[in-house]
Amino acid sequence: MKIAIVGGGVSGLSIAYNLAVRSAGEIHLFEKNWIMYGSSTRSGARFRVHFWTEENSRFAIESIKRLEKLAGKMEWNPIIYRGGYLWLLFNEHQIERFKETNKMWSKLGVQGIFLEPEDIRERYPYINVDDVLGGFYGPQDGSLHHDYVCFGYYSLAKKLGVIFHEFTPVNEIIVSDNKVKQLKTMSGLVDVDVVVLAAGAWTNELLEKIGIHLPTEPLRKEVCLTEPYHYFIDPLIIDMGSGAYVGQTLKGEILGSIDYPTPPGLIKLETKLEFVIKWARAITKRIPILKNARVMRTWAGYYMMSADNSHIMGRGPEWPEGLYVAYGYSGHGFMMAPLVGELLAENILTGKIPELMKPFLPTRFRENKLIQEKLVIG
Amino acid sequence: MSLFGDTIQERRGSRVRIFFRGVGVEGYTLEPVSIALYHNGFKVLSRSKKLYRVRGFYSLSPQDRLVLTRVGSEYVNPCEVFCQEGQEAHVDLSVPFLVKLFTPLLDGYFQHRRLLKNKILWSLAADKIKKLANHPRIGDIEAEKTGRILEVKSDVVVVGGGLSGLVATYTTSKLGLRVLLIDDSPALGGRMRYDHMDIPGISMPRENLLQDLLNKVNASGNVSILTRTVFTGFFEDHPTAYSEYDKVLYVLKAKAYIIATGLVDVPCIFRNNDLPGVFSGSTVLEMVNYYGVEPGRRGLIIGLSQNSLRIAEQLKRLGIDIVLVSHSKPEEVRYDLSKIGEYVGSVKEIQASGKTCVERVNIIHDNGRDEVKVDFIACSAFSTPDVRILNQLDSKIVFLDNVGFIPIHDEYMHLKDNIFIAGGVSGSPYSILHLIEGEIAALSVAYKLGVKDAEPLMEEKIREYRLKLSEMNLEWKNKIFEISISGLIENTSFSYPPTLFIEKPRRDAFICFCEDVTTKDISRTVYEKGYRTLELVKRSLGVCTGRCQGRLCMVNSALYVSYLSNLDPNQVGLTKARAPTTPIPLHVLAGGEGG
Repeated sequence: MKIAIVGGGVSGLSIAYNLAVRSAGEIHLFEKNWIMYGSSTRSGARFRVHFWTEENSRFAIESIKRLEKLAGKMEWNPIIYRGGYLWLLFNEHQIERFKETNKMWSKLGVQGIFLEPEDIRERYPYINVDDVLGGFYGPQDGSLHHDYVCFGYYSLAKKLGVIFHEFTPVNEIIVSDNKVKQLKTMSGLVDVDVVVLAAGAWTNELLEKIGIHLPTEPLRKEVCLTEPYHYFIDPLIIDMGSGAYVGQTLKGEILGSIDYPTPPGLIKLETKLEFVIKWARAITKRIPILKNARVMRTWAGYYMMSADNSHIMGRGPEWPEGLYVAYGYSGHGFMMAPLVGELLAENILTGKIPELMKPFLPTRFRENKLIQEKLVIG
Repeated sequence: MSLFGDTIQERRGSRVRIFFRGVGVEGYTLEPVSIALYHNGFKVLSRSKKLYRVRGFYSLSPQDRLVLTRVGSEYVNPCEVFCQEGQEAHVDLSVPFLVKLFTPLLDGYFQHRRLLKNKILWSLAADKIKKLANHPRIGDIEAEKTGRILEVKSDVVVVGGGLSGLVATYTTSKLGLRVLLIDDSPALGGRMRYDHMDIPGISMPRENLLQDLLNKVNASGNVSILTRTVFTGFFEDHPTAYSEYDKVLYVLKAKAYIIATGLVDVPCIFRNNDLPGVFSGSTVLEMVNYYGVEPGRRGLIIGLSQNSLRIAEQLKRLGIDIVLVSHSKPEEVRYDLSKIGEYVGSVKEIQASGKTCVERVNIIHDNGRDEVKVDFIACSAFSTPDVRILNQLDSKIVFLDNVGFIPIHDEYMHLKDNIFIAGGVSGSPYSILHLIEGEIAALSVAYKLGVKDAEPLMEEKIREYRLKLSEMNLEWKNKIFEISISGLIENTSFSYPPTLFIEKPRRDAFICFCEDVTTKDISRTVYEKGYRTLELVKRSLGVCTGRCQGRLCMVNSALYVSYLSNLDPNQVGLTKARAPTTPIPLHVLAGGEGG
């Protein structure tokens, strides 16, 4: 079987590795730029298992386990670090919502901890809790090194014989008899039996050419990074009041962002001063000690948002035979990709749909079985 | 005719007493703390991030930020802060026990070792590792200051107050346009500020030329000047500039921009090239000729560029002994070096050594090995256009063999949209060209902004420019202009990085000083991991992600990767730079509502 994966981000790389490890046949990966260009290198590099919906939480829990297990085999340490997520809550409604959902999380074994403002002050003395009503701490959440995760998959896949075509854009999928036949790439036509589209924000361009429309759109998100400082912020702190988040990487840099309205679409990946100022104001109010931290770099990347803020994997029954997608991660690519790769590989090779994958099929939009994930950060 | 004889320039400002680790030393109010400390023999200003190696300053540019030293209660770039009476500077010289223990293992791949990939061991190790890097503690910093944001309107912004920037400023203002001139140094003049030799091709003596330009700029009612201010680059909505001195972020609103950021002396790659006492070539001149502080009594100058020779000659006249070294064979050298100093050619490897600063250098060359005692080293083998601002704008930057990485522009000095360039940043090697380019950029801007009469003047200047280029045999400049039209980049050959002075990758030859990345790390990435584009090398090792944001390491790492992998540097490429070019404190960004 000849399988082509389009997209060399974490999603495509994980799929390539998982197919190769199952000896799926001849696997080609096409990337229009260098490996992991696109949204993977632009990631905020955090993972969490706490989602509003059980489907997503369950998926993320399993996914991170996969990545942790794989770490021993990878040439690269993915630098998984469970520093936790701390949500700062400002009203009863928010607290109620977390309390309610924590029941589901407890069932899944990822129970969080509720903190009174005094507890927060004691544990994280640098946080200003004057207007905070409470906090929810998820110790199972944390950070990873996005580049090393990608490199890890890349080197494993390469060793297993995956053929990488970097700087090779795919322009079109050629279908006949409702079967995928060929890929039209910059360097010519390639015969294929299976095509997996994992091109993140650029996936729709290819899907729409063959008449498939899924409710997804790229949304530009901007991030600020400071100079490195002595490590002191363990959790990712999410201010549910201002919509800002902030965390510190193990390298010492402080990374954060804030809700900032941007029109959807593949708009230029640049950052606005207005965004930086908005974040600076929110974050220096929350953590006053950061006033003397210096913003060293800013960048932007796309969240590929799906209509229900959850990833899309697999295929629709009426689609051309051999066509699969894995995209629409809605900002959760690094959390979900390790398991997406595994389940999709099984699905492609056996035709069976694993239980965990079922909620995330592309058919859900037509069947109106949306996942309704509302907890999106950034 | 010239200002200097055999005596050194006087120190700047009035004498004050500052303290270093409790010891009182003399400093001057108009010189940076780093200079005062160096003069008093305190050369170690910081320890490096990962390996805790002793570090001094490499250049005086506020944008390099290689070392941060605690002055008072705050970690600052000691090259950016001037001396004040009673000021206390402090450097923590201790090395954590765990770092001492694991130093032999600490490299770019430390965290990927098998032991550390074990899930349980990693979680234990991560807790230690995260606190081991040598970073300033934010908790030690008082967080009470508030900066401001100010909006500044003008017709044109000129970035860089060197020869081309001053000429561009004067020329645009004369045409009736309002100009804002921004420079990161304490005073205008760029290289003319401290390079006291006359400029070939310009009949006016150097100091008269500078004074004349400054007079014209100052006399014009159309010019506002911001010195000690860094142009921090283009955000999507606004270009910005930041003054650390005033703690002000300027939001710029102008119709056109002329970027004249000049050149950066690229660090040379040799063993222990991070020792205090290793400087950029221009910095050595700036120390003696502007601040009146000798870099040492006997120095090694690496390279045989125009820059090297000018530095060597001026130091020699001040009675400082010079040893010149370069890759060139002695019989190929066209200059008479006998008056300047000793020359060692065909150099293959340089090894600096010393405990806390440069003390000795071993030079390995075709005919054997020499040991010389020196107390400073000047890196002037290669200078590269400071293209970080242009790089933010996605402008094309092309490598030409024997020239370097050059931003693509046309002969109107137009880069793209409303951005123009002039001077060293365009790759032009000679000052006489910088002067003409300053005028052309100004006239092109004026023409674009609809100033009457600008066009004939512009065309005339272009003719003069073409003539000069052909006189000087700068064919490659025409190639750049052609690429700006055709967009076609030819393959280029590339033999040897001009800054490379080691025979094989070494753990003590550094490419990135902010992140402690060595040539050994890069060679592993290239050979074992197979990464050959700078973007991937950056992501595996962290080059270009440190505080200098690639200003000092980007070209070196690109050329080194090209060399190791035998690739055209255009294939290796550079990495994209992002705003801001120099870090801006959050209290400034969060500051006032404008004004």
